[in-house]
Amino acid sequence: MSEAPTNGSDPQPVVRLREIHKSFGSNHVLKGIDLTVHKGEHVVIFGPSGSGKSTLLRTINLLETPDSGSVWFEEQEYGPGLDDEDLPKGRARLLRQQIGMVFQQFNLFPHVTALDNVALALRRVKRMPRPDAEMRAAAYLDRVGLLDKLGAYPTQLSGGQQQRVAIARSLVMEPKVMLFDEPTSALDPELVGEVLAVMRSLAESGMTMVVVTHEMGFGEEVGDLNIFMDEGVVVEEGGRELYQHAQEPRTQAFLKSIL
Amino acid sequence: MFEPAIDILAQARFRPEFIWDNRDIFIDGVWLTIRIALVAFALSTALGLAVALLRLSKSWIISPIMATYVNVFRAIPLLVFVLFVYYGVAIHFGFSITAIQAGVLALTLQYSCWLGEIFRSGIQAVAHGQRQAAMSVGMSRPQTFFRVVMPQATRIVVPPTSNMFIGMIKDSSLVYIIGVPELLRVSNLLANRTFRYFEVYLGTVIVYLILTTAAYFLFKYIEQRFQLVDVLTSKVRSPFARARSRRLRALQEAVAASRGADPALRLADS
Repeated sequence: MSEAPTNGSDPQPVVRLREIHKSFGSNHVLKGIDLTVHKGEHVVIFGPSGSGKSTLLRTINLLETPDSGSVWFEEQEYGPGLDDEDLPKGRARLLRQQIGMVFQQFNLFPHVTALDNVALALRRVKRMPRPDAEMRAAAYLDRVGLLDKLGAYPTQLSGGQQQRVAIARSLVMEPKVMLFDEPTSALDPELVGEVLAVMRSLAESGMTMVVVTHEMGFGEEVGDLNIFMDEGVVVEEGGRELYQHAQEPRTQAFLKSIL
Repeated sequence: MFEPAIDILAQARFRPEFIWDNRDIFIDGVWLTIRIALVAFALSTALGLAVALLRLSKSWIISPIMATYVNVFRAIPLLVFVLFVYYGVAIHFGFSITAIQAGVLALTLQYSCWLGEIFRSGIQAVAHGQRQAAMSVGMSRPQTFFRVVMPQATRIVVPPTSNMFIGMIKDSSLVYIIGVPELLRVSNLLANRTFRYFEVYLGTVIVYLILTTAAYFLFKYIEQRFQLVDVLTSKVRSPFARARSRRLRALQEAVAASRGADPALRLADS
């Protein structure tokens, strides 16, 4: 369903969602979504608010459990599964240890330093001894350019810095896929650039990424597979040409409204 | 020992030294007051935490039971409850517990309700995104609770909990009614014996003031300890902060020294 990614020779599917349905009460948010993400691929999902794109993203790491459908990751079924396949189910916690997620509101732990935000999961989930965990956490803070801020608490950082710490917190677990849920939407305009720069570098390094965003420029630049969603369905998908040459009237109208 | 006759004039004169002369009596009483307040508060904190967690349980049966527990016990005047627990229940049904134990039990049952409600609101006040962030890096539910939710909830509940602690010191006086020889009871006996009501109760008031002021400063200190200070940029004073600062600097130097092996790893400039 997608074109070949730009890097990596034969692309293997890493994430595969099939026939995902999700309702909140009477609100049918996802209406049978299919999505395959290959290794090294950069998927960009956009669409109006309420279209279900964040819910779809959160289904990938099972922060939202779908009502029905298959959530498949690296040869393992994690979701409710499809009716005609009866596969053993993996544990959501193990799935999440292999998938990183960056949130719109950063969601850093406010009671610990930047260093401990990044080191916490290494120590508690990977059971790494404290000195090793701190050394690695500091190295990842250095990667996002925040080595000098490792003693700072989240409230003492700008929004852009907080989001970069959040990216380091996910990356330090060495995830196979990174999910971004509108990572720049809560930032002041002048801070958007620093976060996008980190995401761009990460994309160039070959990380598999699924990004929900309103930054169409980012999609045009790194999006291998670009998906326009509206009212719980995929309206249109395609390569980078989608942004200039959308076929569907709804996609055209949306792109026109935000550009 | 009773003073035989009452010299009206001598009684009328204010004798502040009377408080000092009877300091042994006050000290015995205040010692028991402190022990009752501390034990009852520790027990109420533990029970309150259990009440909060059970109230937050998703079970359709446990949560309403705990809500009823809270609404019943906190609705009874504490003085009435102390009498009920000791004379009403313990003595009537022949439970072999002392007045002190009955008093602690009554205080604990009632304070666990207040503290339970405080702890519940503190836990609920931690943003939902915090749990999601913790789960997204693969932490289990207990890890999420103890490493992420609890520490934040603790900071939220310190000020209202300090109010409850001061309240506990004051309310521990109510167990005087079942004959527990704590500060109020011994003061009461001393005043009745000597008729020096003003001096005795002035002494009692002063001692309670000292206790509650000490509690106030204790909790103020705890709140200060919870302040979040970047040891690398603040003017570091405590030995603990200095050691932490040294450790972080060593970490920065180690990372900076091992950098550069693979520049492709860098995602942003410093």
